[in-house]
Amino acid sequence: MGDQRAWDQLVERYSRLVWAVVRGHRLGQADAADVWQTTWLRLVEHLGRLRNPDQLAGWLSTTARNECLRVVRLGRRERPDEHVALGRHSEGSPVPGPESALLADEERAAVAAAFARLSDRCQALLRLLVAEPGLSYVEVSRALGIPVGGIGPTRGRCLQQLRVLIDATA
Amino acid sequence: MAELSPADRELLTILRDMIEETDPVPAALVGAARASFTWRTIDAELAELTSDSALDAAAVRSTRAPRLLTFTAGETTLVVQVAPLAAGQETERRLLGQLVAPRPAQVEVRHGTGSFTVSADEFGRFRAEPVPAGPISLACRFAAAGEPTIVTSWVSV
Repeated sequence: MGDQRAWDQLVERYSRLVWAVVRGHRLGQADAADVWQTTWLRLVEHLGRLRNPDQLAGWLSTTARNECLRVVRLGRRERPDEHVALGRHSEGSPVPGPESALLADEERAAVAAAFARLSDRCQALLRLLVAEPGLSYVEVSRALGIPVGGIGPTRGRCLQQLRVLIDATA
Repeated sequence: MAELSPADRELLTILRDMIEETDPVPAALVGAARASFTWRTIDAELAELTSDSALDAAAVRSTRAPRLLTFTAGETTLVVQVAPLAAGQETERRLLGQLVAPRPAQVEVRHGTGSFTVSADEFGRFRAEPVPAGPISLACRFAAAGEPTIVTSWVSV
């Protein structure tokens, strides 16, 4: 953990997870970037204390969530229309990977449109459930502030709603 | 916990691919996360954020009150008042700090795009401005021989 290369690998491994937590909150672009950066800086300062790699996913997602709640409380620089554009324009069109072939354009568009119409809570939960590396239910519970026992039923309900919305779009 | 049905599992896979393709982590943010490693400090003592008035219930009711951050490392407390540099200004901050026990120090204000150093006077007071909004951390170096440098936890201001 002592060098930049090991750090870069760690960022690579956990980026999607941290991003899923950040995107699960309705933040403006500047706030999302601040939460993101603060989370990684927190990890840098705690590197010497986190001895167990198994705790890293849970620690990062909880830290990111707490920072999201902090900026939401501050209520600053929130521009309601901003979050829509976040993550889309900065990279241009993503280069199609091997997986793209699995997902036809129309199907992807239908899933994306349906997902966007889900409640914030469902979007946040599903984002976290599909993000790599996966979290335990206890960690999901902490990262979203919902009881462990509520994750299964909520997941079922959200997937059901997603199906209905996809069918309605198709 | 109910097991996922094959149909649920398939839907989650489709969802993962969709998110991966339409909402990847912005490359600029990945770059910034990598660069954050350069802020690593080995020899300093960490002052954890022990209180943030922004998270107090009372502060929500009176949002005009200045935000107070309290950091603690051993016997040392650092209280920092955060205010906009000018009314309604959301991109730059003014920090007013107080070290307890009061003593002079060199305070390095580390922020997203660099750092600068201000002096805390004999009463442990300092003022830093302009500080760009975003994550900050303060490194306090003391005159006394052997007294360890204190570095605050990062917090977004």
